[in-house]
Amino acid sequence: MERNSNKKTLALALTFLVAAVALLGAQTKPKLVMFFSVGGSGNSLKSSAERFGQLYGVDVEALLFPISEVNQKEVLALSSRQGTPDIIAMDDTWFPLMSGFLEELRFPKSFYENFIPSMLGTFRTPGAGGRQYGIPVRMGGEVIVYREDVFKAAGIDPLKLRTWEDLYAAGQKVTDKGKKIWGWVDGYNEPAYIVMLWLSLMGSYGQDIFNADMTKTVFNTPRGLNATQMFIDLTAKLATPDILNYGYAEEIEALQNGSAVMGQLWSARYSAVDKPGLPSSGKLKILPIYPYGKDSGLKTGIDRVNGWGLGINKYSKNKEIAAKFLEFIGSYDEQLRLAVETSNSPVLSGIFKEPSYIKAVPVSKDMESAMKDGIARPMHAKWQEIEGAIAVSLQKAVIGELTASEALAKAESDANKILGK
Amino acid sequence: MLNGQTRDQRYAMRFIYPALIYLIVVLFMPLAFSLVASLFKWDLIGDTAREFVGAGNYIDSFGDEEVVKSFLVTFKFTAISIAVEMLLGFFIALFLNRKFRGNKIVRVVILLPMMLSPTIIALTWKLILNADRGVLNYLLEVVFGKGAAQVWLGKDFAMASLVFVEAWMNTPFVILMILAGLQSISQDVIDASLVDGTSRAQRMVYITIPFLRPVILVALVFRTTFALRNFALPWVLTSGGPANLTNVFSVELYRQAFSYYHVGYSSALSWILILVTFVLSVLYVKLTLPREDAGRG
Repeated sequence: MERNSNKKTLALALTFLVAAVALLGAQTKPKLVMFFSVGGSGNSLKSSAERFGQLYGVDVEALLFPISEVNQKEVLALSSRQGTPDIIAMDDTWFPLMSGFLEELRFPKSFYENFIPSMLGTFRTPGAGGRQYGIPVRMGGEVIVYREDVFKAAGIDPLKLRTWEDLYAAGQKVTDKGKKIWGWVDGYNEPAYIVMLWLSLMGSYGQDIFNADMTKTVFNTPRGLNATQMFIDLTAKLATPDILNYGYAEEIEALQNGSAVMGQLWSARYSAVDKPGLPSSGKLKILPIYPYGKDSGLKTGIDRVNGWGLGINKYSKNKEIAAKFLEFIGSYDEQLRLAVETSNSPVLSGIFKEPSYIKAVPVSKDMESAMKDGIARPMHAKWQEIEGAIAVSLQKAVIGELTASEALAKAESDANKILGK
Repeated sequence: MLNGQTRDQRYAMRFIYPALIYLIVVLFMPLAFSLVASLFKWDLIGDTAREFVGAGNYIDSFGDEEVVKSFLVTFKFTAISIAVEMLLGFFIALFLNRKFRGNKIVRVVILLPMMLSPTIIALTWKLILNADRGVLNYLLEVVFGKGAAQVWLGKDFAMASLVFVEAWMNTPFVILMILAGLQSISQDVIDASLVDGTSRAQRMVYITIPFLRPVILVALVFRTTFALRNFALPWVLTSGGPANLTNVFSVELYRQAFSYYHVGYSSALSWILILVTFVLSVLYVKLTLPREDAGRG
């Protein structure tokens, strides 16, 4: 009786041992965890992560969340020194906040050579000896998209639209408030969206945002005022009265259903707008230049390059595989595949000339030409807070609570208060 | 030697300890932590150095224009929505307290909004109120013509829309409370007043309202505390916009905590909200409940 019981105990112990060994064995297989933003960006990057997993026999967990949740989850993981997620997906403005928690990338120089310099520079610390902590994987610039057929009917030659003033006049011509057809559209319901247009306008009127050492904002100037006035005119006079509630989904819908004739669009979203099978298919084109301010002294506008990059969590236990994944997703072949198959906005300059990409995105030449002078958004650890303050002042100006000059003064004063904290 | 009562109490405490420990871990410890955090200048990311500032965060909040404005917006939102909810709730409850055919069905339908998730409600109303594609504007244009459409979430109507949806969502709670109160009024009291020849208005003033006072107080306290810290509805419906016109305190608090990661400052803001809610609740109780010594000679 007692011997029987001992045997049972031994068998049970052995079963536990085997299970434990099996579990440990299972855990030794490397696993890469990463969070992406839900939507076009996330789908594209996730497809690359899954392909990497299949090719290299790595378990990949690529989870999609709304952009704010990606940010929150990553910030909480990094600030509590957790190793998961291994790959840190960053919107360009998050980089100054997160760089201290990222592993420095040490790829051979040749790896970096294909990247568009302004995009690669977004994930490098400033200064001559800047260190690379991330690579761009889905970035684009702001481009002006318009309905070719409506412009033609209104007698507007898009190639003659070179300044923002030209653009505004064209917008006025096609706006028909009675029929609810608007000459301007953009995303406005997030501080980052509303400030993106303003930033691009400021650049296109030759106005800097910060002083050289980024200790103070310097945009409350006559040029800044011209840019801000143009922002208000476009928004308050040419767009739907509901424009401040418009996100990118609404913008895309308005361009597709024809209630908006022209607008600013992140280049990576173009393929979401010009979808086959819609009445608007093939009619939405991109201006080959980014417009500049009339009296700015510039010959071309300066839009803001923005988008997603990837870095490696400093506390990850899978840094080597993570680096391998970055090398994979930044490779020419994978970037070309992503651009052609998932409409990913290319971060390698050569891809714009690839026949397969040109075939998939016929406006790619205009897109590249419009973005060629683009610069990064301000890289400051407090940018998100500053952006929030600027957005509120701009909204107040749009609804008529402040004039352009009052809004500009208030935005600058608020921004400097934040910098001084 | 322990007496029987003490022994019973000790025995009973064994059943209370698990719940008490749970409360300490999930409620009191985080509260204490946030109180300590509120005394530090502490950002979760960026400049993460912690610096003891004492009451600095509390003092800063009074000089923070957006925080002060968000408080005013919150009070406006709370005051109007509570007034609407209490009045509507009271009269609908009176109506539902009457006997009529289909009463039970009407009760179920009226109470439905209370059972839905605030986020789903906000998303649904956001679609209904959409100026360009919303059902409301479509119907208004069909009935009244083109000029009838409005920008419901724009500068002129955003607050009104927010109050409307809040009232739509929470009036059923007030109805439920007051209806329960109405049904607890003894029929004998009503009958006696009828024998005395009271009018309907007199019965309302001298019987119904005094009997309902404790119920109204509970509904008022609940609704006020919930409205003061309402987050889901304003966040989803307007995100505080346009131009911060509907930026209620909890949205501002969320932004400070989860967009800018100011842990210390946002902890201070949350303690201010707790204090305001507490003070208002005490004030309600003091003002509404009859004083215990009232009537004593």
